[in-house]
Amino acid sequence: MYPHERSLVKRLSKKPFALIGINSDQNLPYLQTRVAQEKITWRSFWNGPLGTSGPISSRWGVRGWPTIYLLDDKGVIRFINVDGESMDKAIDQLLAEMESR
Amino acid sequence: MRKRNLWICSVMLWLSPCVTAQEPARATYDNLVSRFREARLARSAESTRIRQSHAYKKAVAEHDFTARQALLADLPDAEAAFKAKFEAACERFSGSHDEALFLGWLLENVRPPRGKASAYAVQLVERHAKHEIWKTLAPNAQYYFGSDPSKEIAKLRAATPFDEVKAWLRYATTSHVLRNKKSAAEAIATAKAEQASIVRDYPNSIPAMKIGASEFKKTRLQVGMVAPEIEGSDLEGHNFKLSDYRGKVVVLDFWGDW
Repeated sequence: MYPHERSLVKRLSKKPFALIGINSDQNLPYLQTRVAQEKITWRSFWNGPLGTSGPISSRWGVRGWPTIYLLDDKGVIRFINVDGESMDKAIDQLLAEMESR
Repeated sequence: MRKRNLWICSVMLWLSPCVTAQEPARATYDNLVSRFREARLARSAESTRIRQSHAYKKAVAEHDFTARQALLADLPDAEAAFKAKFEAACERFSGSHDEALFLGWLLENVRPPRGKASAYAVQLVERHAKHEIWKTLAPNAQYYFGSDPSKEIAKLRAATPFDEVKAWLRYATTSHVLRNKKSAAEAIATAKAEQASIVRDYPNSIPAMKIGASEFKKTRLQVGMVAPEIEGSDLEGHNFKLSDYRGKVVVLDFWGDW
């Protein structure tokens, strides 16, 4: 997962695009070191010390990890659980849509 | 002023050995946990190294599952290596309040045989049912006691002084019934009524959110709807909001490093 996310963030660094994580690791110091090890540059909410039972994923009813929501620039949910190439395509579509307005 | 500082310092110096003498269990626990963290980090780094190696990539390309497993087989098992250390600490601090910390680690890191209760969980209920450690353990309580967790969960519920633990334990009982495909219609109806009453009793609790999640998904999380606001803190502790990113295309990625 990380290599794809890293290349995505790099490819779209000049575009109006953001990758936002909601992280469900329980142990914050461990996670912070992993973030440095894996060169994870994108921002994440922390789901708290209860891990996968934390408040954000509980409210959103997340049962599988990773779960992806793709939002357009107005904050509207446009795709759910797209990954790999289809995620890249969906993002490009939303960016093009923005530019054509 | 200077004299007073000196006095405070000397009192603190005099007190400090007492403080450490009272908290060796906590210090031992913190030390073991941080060494365990180091061991896991070393394993992660080693795992990354193996996955980037030529031999591993070749095995992936050839769909050679056995070769992949063989390459990863030498990774050190940090949980197994630390099990004995945490068990020794349990013995050393047996009967003290902080014994629960070591039992809690063992419960979360050492799996019991399939379908069986965790011996550590049973001990934690027997000796430490009122302990604050249940604030972090209670969300998974239905998985700790084998195929019928109801008796142990009832014991905990009766003992715990914490509302959030009570909410989780009540939720655990209902979700155990609702997940079990063999549950009788009557039991399912009771569980649903109990869930409604959990939401009434603890409206802002996480169990209440979980109970409301399928409705939330239906009414707030469909394609075409504006995503609900998320407010929280990032991994460095700075607060931010999802709506800070309006005007940008956003990939919202629920992830974990596992």
